[in-house]
Amino acid sequence: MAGLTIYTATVEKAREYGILKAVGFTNRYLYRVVLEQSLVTGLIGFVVGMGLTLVAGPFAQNLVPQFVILVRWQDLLAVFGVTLLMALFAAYIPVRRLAQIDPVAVFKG
Amino acid sequence: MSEGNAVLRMDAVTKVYGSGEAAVFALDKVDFEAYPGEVVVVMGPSGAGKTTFLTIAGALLRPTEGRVEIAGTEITSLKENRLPFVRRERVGFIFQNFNLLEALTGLENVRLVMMDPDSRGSVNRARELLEMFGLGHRLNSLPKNLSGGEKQRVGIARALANNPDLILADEPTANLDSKRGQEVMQLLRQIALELHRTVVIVSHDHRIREVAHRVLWLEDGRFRADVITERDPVCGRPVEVEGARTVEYEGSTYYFCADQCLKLFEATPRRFLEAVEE
Repeated sequence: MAGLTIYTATVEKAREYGILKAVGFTNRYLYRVVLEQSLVTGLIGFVVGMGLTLVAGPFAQNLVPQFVILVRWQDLLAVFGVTLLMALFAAYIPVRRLAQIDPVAVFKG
Repeated sequence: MSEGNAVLRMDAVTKVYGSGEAAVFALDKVDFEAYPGEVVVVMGPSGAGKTTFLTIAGALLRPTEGRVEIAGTEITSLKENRLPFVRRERVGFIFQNFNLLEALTGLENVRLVMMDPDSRGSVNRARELLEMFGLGHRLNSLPKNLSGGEKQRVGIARALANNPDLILADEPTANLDSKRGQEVMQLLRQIALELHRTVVIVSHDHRIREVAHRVLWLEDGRFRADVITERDPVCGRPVEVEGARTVEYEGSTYYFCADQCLKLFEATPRRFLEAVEE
């Protein structure tokens, strides 16, 4: 989901990235922008997801007592780590797309 | 005009697209020089190689052969990853369709391209540039709330943000009405004369000749020195007099770039002549 969001955002902004390339921004700088966007998206997902788990968990357990929910700090840490990895992976395809944007195209109408 | 060293120098620049029988020479051994304080306008028909010329001059495209120098730096020998720095520090681009970032205000669009966009110095310089171009009251407006002329003035301010030696303008008046076009043309001349920058403009707009120190005609990838041009009264494009379609009307000869323009003129000549007189 994060990958799709970042990829869509990159494709939609392809012309703007082209403008930035034309006026002298390096590919490396633009990769960093996409990576930061991906990390922020991942972190927002992590915070919202963990918040919902902590809030909804006790209700779910009351509703279905057989459904045991135990959130340990090790789990949080692991999910956080996986989130970061997913964010990095999600940025990979958009970054490849960015590399292909030709800044000369911004001169063509 | 040849004051000091050339800011832009091109020696025998050739650009070929495709290969073998399908090879197209967009530029064919082009030599070019432009000096500080000078406005050079490059004109020519569609497909003449104007955009290729501009993008090679701006370190966006590598020539197939030849040498390009910007402010003393030979860019043809530079590695690919160095070219963005040349563009950002030495060249200012002005685009036909403005190419502002829609999510940023006028001030932010100008600041963004600066080396240290968040410093107080950058904010002050961006503000000064916009105020210099009469946009002091539009600093925080988004591009969607600006008129075409205002957008182009923000674009010009952005082009000057890093104090570049060379300004390259691609059809800067194409999306503007006649009055705004005149304003932009005068601004470009002012930049060359007062700020001592080198301004190279690629344009179809015949009116832009008024602000030029030199006008060059590019056709089939080569500059031609002996070309006499007139303005097509219908589309406004420059037309090479030799071989052009012509119409005699009220004792004057009018020149057209294509049959379509000629037919439109013949149907209602007064309509187009009044527009030219305006």
